[in-house]
Amino acid sequence: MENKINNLQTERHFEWRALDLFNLSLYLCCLWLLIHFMSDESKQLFQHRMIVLVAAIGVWRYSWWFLNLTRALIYEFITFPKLRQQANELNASGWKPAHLYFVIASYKEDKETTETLLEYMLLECRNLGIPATLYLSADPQDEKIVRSYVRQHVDGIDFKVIAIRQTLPDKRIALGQCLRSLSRNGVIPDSPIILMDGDAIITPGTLAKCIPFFHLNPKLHALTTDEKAIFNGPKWMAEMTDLRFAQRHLMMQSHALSKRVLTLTGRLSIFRSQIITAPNFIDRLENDYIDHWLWGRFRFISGDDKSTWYLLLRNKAEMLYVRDAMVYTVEHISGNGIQRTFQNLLRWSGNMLRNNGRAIALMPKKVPFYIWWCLIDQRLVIWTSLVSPIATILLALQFGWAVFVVYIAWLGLSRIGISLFIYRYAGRIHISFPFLIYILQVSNAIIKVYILFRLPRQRWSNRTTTVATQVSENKIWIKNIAAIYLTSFYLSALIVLLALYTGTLEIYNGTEILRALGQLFSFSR
Amino acid sequence: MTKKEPSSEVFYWDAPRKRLHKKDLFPLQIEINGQVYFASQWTINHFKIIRYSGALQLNKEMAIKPIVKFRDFEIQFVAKAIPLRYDPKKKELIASFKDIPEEHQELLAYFSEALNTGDMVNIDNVLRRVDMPITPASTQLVAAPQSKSKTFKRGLIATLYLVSGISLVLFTLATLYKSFFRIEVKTAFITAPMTSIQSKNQGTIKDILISKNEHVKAGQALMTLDVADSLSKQRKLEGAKQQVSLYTALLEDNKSKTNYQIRLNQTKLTTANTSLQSALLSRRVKCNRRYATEIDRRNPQKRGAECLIARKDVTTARLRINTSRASLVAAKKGYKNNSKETKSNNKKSKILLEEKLKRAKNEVESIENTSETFLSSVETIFSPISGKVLNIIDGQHQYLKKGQLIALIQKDNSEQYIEAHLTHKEVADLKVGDRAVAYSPLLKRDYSLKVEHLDFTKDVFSLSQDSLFKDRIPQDKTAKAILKFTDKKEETLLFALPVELSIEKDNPFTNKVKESFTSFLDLFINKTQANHFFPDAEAAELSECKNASRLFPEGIIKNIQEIGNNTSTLSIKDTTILDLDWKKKLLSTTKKLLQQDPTPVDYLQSSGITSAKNKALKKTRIALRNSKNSALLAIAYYLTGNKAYLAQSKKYVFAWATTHIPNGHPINETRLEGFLWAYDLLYCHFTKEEHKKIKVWLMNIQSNKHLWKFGPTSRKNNLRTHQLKILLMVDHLLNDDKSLVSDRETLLKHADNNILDKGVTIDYKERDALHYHVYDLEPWLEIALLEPDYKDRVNSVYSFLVKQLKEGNIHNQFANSKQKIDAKRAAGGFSYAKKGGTFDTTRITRSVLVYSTLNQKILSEQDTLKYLSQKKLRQYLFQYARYYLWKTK
Repeated sequence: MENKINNLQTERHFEWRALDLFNLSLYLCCLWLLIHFMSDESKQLFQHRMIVLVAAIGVWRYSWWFLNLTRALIYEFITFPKLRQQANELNASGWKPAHLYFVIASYKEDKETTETLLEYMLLECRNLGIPATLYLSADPQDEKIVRSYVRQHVDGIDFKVIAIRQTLPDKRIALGQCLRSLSRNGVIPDSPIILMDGDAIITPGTLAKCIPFFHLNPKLHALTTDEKAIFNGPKWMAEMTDLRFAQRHLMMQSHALSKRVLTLTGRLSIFRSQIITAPNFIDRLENDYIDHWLWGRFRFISGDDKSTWYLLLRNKAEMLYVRDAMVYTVEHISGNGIQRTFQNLLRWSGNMLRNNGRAIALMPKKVPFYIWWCLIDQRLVIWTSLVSPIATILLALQFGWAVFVVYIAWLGLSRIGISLFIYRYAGRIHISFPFLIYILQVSNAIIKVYILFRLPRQRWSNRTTTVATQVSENKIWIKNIAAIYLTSFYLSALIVLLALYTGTLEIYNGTEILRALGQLFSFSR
Repeated sequence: MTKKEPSSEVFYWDAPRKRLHKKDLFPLQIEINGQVYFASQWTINHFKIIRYSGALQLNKEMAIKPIVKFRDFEIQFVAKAIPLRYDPKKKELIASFKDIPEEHQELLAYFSEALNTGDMVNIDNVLRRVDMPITPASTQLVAAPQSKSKTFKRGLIATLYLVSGISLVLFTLATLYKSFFRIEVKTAFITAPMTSIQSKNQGTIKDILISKNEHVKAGQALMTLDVADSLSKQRKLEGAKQQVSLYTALLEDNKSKTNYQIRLNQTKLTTANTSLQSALLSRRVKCNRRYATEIDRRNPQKRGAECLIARKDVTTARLRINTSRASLVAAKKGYKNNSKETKSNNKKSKILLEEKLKRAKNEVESIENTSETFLSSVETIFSPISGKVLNIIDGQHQYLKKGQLIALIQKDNSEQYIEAHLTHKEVADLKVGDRAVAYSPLLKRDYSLKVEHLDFTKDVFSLSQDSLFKDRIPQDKTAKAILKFTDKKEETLLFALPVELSIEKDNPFTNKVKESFTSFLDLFINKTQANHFFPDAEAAELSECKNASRLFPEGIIKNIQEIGNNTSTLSIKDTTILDLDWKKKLLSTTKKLLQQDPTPVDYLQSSGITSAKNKALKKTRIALRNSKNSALLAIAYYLTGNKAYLAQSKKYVFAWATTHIPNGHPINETRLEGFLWAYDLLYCHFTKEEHKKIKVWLMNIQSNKHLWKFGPTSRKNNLRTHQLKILLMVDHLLNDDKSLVSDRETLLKHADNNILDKGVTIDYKERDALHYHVYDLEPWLEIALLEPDYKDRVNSVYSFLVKQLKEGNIHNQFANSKQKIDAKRAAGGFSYAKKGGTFDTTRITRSVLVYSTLNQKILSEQDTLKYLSQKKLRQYLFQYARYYLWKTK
């Protein structure tokens, strides 16, 4: 762990490794063998009309993906370098903000992690030479660690900590109280407020890279940075996290071209002080909610980062992704990690879906069209991701196992195609990426379908199993049944449509259907 | 208690004086009689509980246990309290603590003080230490404002989802039902037994005397045809003119043919000469250095290669000249030869052609001069039968070719039916008796039908002719089904009307699902719709089933039960023969069968096989052991009363009924009889649904056997006897009187054909072998059990057998067999068929057993006893047991 922390990269770099290249060659060989020795029966399936649908969806999805890639490259090579140059010039001119405000809501963090966080935070403050205040909402034990560490290492820095005790075990309340305290104690206008988690480590130079943008662009109200993880747990989870962060890096750059991002990650995001300390902003952050036609009004528990994002998006605030600033997150996973991964997916998908609808409702008049379409796409992708696995199973019912050979070949080809681009962002060739991309795609889609109709089902964190429905218990059973009904309805509709399209079920006209119902229920003979 | 630490210069508490302070009540819980209550108020001396539900006596001590939850601990101690006041309406109890130990009093005081000073706070009813006061926060949301529009919107969305969901479910159910439970056939047409009337001569229609759908009588005129010279004048004229043109063209061709060849070869020669000149020029340039270009000179390698190509071109051009010259010479020579050698032939040909041309011209002239009326002569076409005209050719003055279809007439009193054309895959899921619905898009009506006949292969069995609808049927639909209307009444439908047919699939999966679905529906609809298969009378009969038997004599079940209970002696006074106790053997055999699952097969195959090692034969023989075993299990059930035998026997019968696909073969299916005996014995133990399936199977057997096409020999020999045996059994089991009458008629004829003088069977005569005599006798004996009228004739067949045995005529078998298959079988390992071989006398065991059963004769007293063997008795254990159980008096 210590070794990992000492070798933190401040930017992404690609590294060639012989073993990785060998693995990639092996993968491509296996794929070639699979396609080359494919039976005629399997090859004939390429003439099935299902290929038209899969190809159409494929063209759509991959065009969209390549559009994002192109936008990310434009951002990387054209847009951001100009911004970076301006920021560097500003830094070189000696400009500094008057004060830095850190807000951390932490709960029972590991001592080593907390101390590393503080070490890098103090290092940043020392390097910048700006007075700083840390608003800390933490467990008494964490407070002791912070107090002790800061007392020992604060020499020469204008740095103080204000601790806020929380009454409810809720991160939103903790953040709200921190922001209230910040507001009470007085905030210098246009100062950057850094909201971060107790397990985030700021790499050296991050703040210097980020803060000038607020001065350069008065419309900018929030920014977020690149992320990586220091992982203590199963290797596959580490690879999966690498994949997710690489994908995030790509997509964030694409979104940033439209001066918005799709999330202001809770790990570390920097905000301009004005909006974020406004009372109504804090009120809404503490008790964010949506009104749902089935579930009524319910409160959000997790996903405070999505709330801050939505509230800024609603205010047409500009956002930025600082692609060359890196923040690390420390993850400790015990056990095999499947449960944890499932919980994470459940939490992320839930947060996304709870906010997605209301963000779409802002319409392109408040949200740039591209970002608005990204939000729509987040909904569509749930269903398109399920098309190919369901269609494969349906076709297998008709044509047998040969279908799976074709499907595996298709997955192998398409996913390695995507992976080849993602490797650049991941820093090296991970041979697990093609598999993980597919697993994440399908599992995410399944989880999203489940959560789509159970939006109030939330968890406090990814570590506990307490489920908080946060809706009135009045007639809750009816709502639960309705949720089951809606899930079944949408899934059945998808399966039936695909079954009709693939020819697993024959298509009958209206008269034939009515006559069949008559026969089935013996209305007529 | 630890003191709050002072803040350092870098570490501050959040502005405590600015914050709202809050004190909370100490969450004290008190356990009384095992029930835990929250103290709504308390001091060091007293406490108050609201909603107290336990028993109490005022002013009398009671044991209590105060509980304090502090951080992760639960502090509790035993104390006493005196109830001071109790309000039964509000259920409020006020009591005072008594004799609380000092250390516990201190503890309570400590917590109380900490609360007052704000050092501790109540969070979720757990006392927690805080180092400073806290700011209250709430996670309670402001309730969403209620409005009519919101309620309406919610209702509308819910309704839309509900309607869409129901529609989706119904659509899916209907689609699944149609896909998996029904076969949809678009190539189905209404037809009827009919007579087609064709034109015997060519001619032009003069008059159509009837119209479509009109009723005609036999001999009634349908139309008149102009036949004398049926082509119209114009047509004849055109034809003759065409002949003139043809002969003129032939004459021209004859003249110009040779000239053309010469001209062609001359052109070819000129072209070849030009090519040669060009190639020579090219060779000079490429091969001679003097003519080479500057670039070519510098590149001798390239020039050398090009020179080689140019030389080859010259050679090729010369070859072409030679060939063209040769062709030209040949053409000229041919022309000369034509002129000299074949001059006479050509002349003859020319004369012939000129003559033909002249004749054609005369013909044209003759037609032009002939009047129209002179050409005609009239023929009248009559209807050969009485009936309805389904179709008649349309269009007066239309030209008819010889043999062209003129009219279709449906015979009087003939029923319309539907002819459906299916693929083999589709027809495999159907059985005779399956229900169907035909929908006419034209009439927009449904008609109920029943599958009457299935024709798996068009060329094996068809309606003696190709389908009338063959132009409208895809090539893969080679199977055919005939379906009869069940509710059409007197209505006559349009002939050849296309209908959309929906036929019920009949396979184990669909049947099981249908059964479950019907049972499910029955839960809601208190009627058994599935029972329409059974007529009401039959359903009533089933409900009053009183162990009546159809094949066995009356009272057989009672008889078996009595023997099982040892209350009855054997029906025939007999002791075991050959030391084989039938009852013991039967029970030991059936006990083993309880562990054996049925092994049904879809098709049976034994007839016509010439190799004893044939796998299909072995498979069939092994599978058919289920047949006699099912009957033995049924007997074992009545003997012992053990329901395991009943279940196992039913399992055997049912498995075969739902797996086996009858094709009506007389020999392959003759050993199915065991199932029929078992079904008869256990008739009252099957459910209605099981009866339905078994009866469908029996109906399939029956209809396929009725449709079986016998050859000239097989219609008289043992094949027909075996066929009739099964048919009669099935007729009895189905209570099908109509079929029984018909089969009895066939039986009567067959007895005359099959049993010759002195009990000799036609099989014995044909094969010259007792083996086949016995093989014919066996079904005859079974028939006689069902049809006692044949007892005497069958006995004569049996007597002939016994006589042969007594006289020792058992050698030199198959010596004069007329069937070639016997020799093949002998060669294939069937020892019985060996030419000149000896008859295996134990082969008569089954016949002896059934003969004794039929005639109620004591087995041990018979002369034939000496021919029996234990091995064979075990093989025919069912017949052996039946012999003891059968009681006709």
